[in-house]
Amino acid sequence: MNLLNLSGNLLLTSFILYLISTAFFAVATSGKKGPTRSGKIAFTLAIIGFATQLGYFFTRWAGAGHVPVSNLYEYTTFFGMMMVLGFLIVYGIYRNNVLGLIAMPIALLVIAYASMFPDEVQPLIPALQSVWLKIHVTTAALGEGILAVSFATGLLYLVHATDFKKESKTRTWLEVVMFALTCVVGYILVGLLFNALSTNATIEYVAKNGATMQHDYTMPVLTGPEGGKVISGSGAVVELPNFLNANKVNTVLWSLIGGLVLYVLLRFVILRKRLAESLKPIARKIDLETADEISYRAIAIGLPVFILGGLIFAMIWAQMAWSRYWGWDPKEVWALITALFYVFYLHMRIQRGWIGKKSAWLCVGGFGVIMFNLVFVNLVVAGLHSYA
Amino acid sequence: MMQQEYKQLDMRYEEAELRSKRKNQSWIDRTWTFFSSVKVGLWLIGLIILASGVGTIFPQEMYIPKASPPEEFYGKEYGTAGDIYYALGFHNLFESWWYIGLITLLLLSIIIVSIDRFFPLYRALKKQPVIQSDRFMGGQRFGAETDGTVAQIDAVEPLLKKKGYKIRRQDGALLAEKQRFGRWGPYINHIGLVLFFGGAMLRIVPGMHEDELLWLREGETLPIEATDNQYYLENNAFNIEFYDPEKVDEKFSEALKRAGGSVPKNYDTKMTLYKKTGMTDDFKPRLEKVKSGETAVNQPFEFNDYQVFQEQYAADPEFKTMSFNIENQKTGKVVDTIKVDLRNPDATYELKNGYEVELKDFLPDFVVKDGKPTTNSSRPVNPAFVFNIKSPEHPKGERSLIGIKLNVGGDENQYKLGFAGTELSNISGVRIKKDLTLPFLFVGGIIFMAGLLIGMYWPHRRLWLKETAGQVKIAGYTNKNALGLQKEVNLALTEVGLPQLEDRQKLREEGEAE
Ligand code: HEM
Repeated sequence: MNLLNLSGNLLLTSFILYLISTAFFAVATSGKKGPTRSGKIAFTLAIIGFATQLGYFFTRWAGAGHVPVSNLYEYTTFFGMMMVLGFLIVYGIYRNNVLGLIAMPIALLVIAYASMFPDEVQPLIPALQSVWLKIHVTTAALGEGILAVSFATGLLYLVHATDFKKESKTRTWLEVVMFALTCVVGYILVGLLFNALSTNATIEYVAKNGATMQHDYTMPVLTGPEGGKVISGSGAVVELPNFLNANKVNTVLWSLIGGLVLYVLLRFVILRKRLAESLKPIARKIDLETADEISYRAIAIGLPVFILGGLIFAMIWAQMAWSRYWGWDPKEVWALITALFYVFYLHMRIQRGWIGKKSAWLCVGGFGVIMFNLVFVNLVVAGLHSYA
Repeated sequence: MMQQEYKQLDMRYEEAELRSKRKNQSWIDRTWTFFSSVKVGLWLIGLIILASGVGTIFPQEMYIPKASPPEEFYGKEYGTAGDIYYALGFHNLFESWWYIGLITLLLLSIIIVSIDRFFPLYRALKKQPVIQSDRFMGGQRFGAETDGTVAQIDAVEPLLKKKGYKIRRQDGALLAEKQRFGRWGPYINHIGLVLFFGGAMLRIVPGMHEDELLWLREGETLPIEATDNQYYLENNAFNIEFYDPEKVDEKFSEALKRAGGSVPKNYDTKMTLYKKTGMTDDFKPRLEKVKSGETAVNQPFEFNDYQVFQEQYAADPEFKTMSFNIENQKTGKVVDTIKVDLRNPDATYELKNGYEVELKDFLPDFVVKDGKPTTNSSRPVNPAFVFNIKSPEHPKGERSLIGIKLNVGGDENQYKLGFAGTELSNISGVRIKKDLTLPFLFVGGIIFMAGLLIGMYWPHRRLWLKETAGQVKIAGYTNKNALGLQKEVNLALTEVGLPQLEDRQKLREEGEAE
């Protein structure tokens, strides 16, 4: 178990390094000039952080005996790591510090989110014991990581291009995006809080097929199953029909509550303006052409990688393991949707002249699709890939 | 210096005429125009995205429990939303006529759009002039103007050559071009897509695709229908191993506890393949061994065009044999033991000293229906037997009904049958596959990927320079990676005293005057 402990410590170290790196990116963008000393320090720290996280990856690999991308904790952590790599690649080309100030926190958020899942190593069923699976998952995650850079620049573009003094659709929808991000933070904070308070509860219920099942809650119970019997902890405030997973709905509700509280605090007490607007001084530092160019470039580089890993390698693996290259499993379908979405973006851009704002919105939407596949499809829609 | 108003030229097809953009169209032209419209193509992609997304809300028909009929399942499980889902055909979306219709239209659109644009573009790029009009040069996104001489253009030529540009000159003007092949990327990837989907659709051609799930008990030999019963497969042994949270796989113990059941580590089937060479006199197939081997998950067993995949196994092993002791209830002595092969039970079992056991009735899957014992299926899941034991004391025999936790009449008789053990047999579910469409998919996939990479990673770059009346005009074009173009040529331009390329595209903030 030593290797696994070491691995956990390396992950924590890389997380801290990323945080410090972000701080240096903040310093680097506060000055007037372009690439500064702090920018270089920030970049170097990000690289060291990445190397440390690679250390986490390989020590965990050695400890578990298989590549650590086989449950939600491992995969999401790896995705965060690939977002950092995607950022490092694009930073290497464009040397833009503002990008670091946005992209690094998003990667940090993803890694923090990963830490909310159970982190024990898991045994692999025979179908998952394949080299193609490793190649498929790692390449797909790298593709998504590079694509995610376009989300950061798309966001920067939109904030820069928006006049927050005037009412507009962009202003409204940007705030919706900011609220969604706040809810992720809310989920993490609420999770940590209830973990510390150990507010556990167990409710027993009878499922459709007649079997007796249990929900093990880690957060105070708001929604419970229909006709549930409290085994330990407190009872539900509202009962839900059984095709909804009351435990997951409960978690979603708490994330929304956490997000809302955080949002109200930021919006009306701390920043006293729209969250998107408070990013404006940062976004101003990147000119619109550069933001637009980087978005397009990240997608041009990332999409082939994603299609190769997420669709082609996936098909090769599925053919070997399940004897069919495509099975319309929800996760597969959403990988296809992700690819088609970015294909849509490319055609809109070169054939129908969607550059600038419309293009930036598609970049934000594309990341939405990726996150939907990672979070929602894994947790809510069950399928062959469902890790949880 | 006159600065002309910048209005970017549409460079997608080098201003070539497309069939789809002609006026006065016949109906063929109009169909052509419809399918070559990118707007239509994007609508199709959008609809496919939407439909596919909706198709994942509830499980597809193939993933719902086999026992529940789909027309009831969706309504029962998900209420009205489920009923609507079923009624609209989303439960089997990916085989529904309208989803396949959308894909077909998309393919048609890709084929037509590619033909529509490829040839004009090819011709235009092939015969492009070195000297371009002021309108053309001023309409490029990148450009500059300055007072200068032809000598500067001459000087920049070798520098650009060194960067890999192909140079053409005419009357002092210069055209530098590189990576034109990058423009063919989209066409190559579109062809790959068409091949891929075309290959997938070849499945409907008879003989291209066979797919059969075969359940094989240990020791059993069965014909493979997918080979027209020309080949037989024998299950020599099925082996399964589970993760052991106590000893070997201690590091997984926590996760195994969470999973709440045993998790298989590996399973495989040792098998022998036979070819039928004819029939014996009593109409049994005459089999000739072809080869032996093993199929495991991720490692199919192969023969001819076929692959045998280890897909599943029966959760509960089946009984293979059952043994019984014949006991004298008075003395407690065991007279003899019989072993019943449940797949091929004998009618009588002759024993020592004139004892005999007759199997009067065999119920492999015992149930009581309407008060009568009967069998549910022919699989030995819950076997029950009606035995008649003949002994010197009872030459006509004593009857009893015996099964698992079942003994009717046995206790009153002098001789009874006592349970003496069973042998179990695992059942392996192997999938036999032949898919001759795979090579098409493979080639299509490679061409698609190659086209994608070419189009995305090798941007087309061009630079025009011309001198008129002491003025040098410069224009630059690229279809991707604007920064790369500027970086690459600016150094060369400044070295000979020419100005850097200026990006004339100006994106605006909201509220700024257009
Ligand atoms: C799933 C289907 C499709 C895929 C994966 C695909 C892929 C691509 C890619 C990667 C490009 C290059 C884009 C860029 O350079 O930024 C491209 C270009 C293009 N695509 Fe598609 N495409 C698909 C369907 C379609 C459809 C349905 C149409 C039109 C009806 C279409 C029309 C075009 C055109 C006109 C171009 C530009 C060609 C050029 O630059 O000369 N594509 N496609």
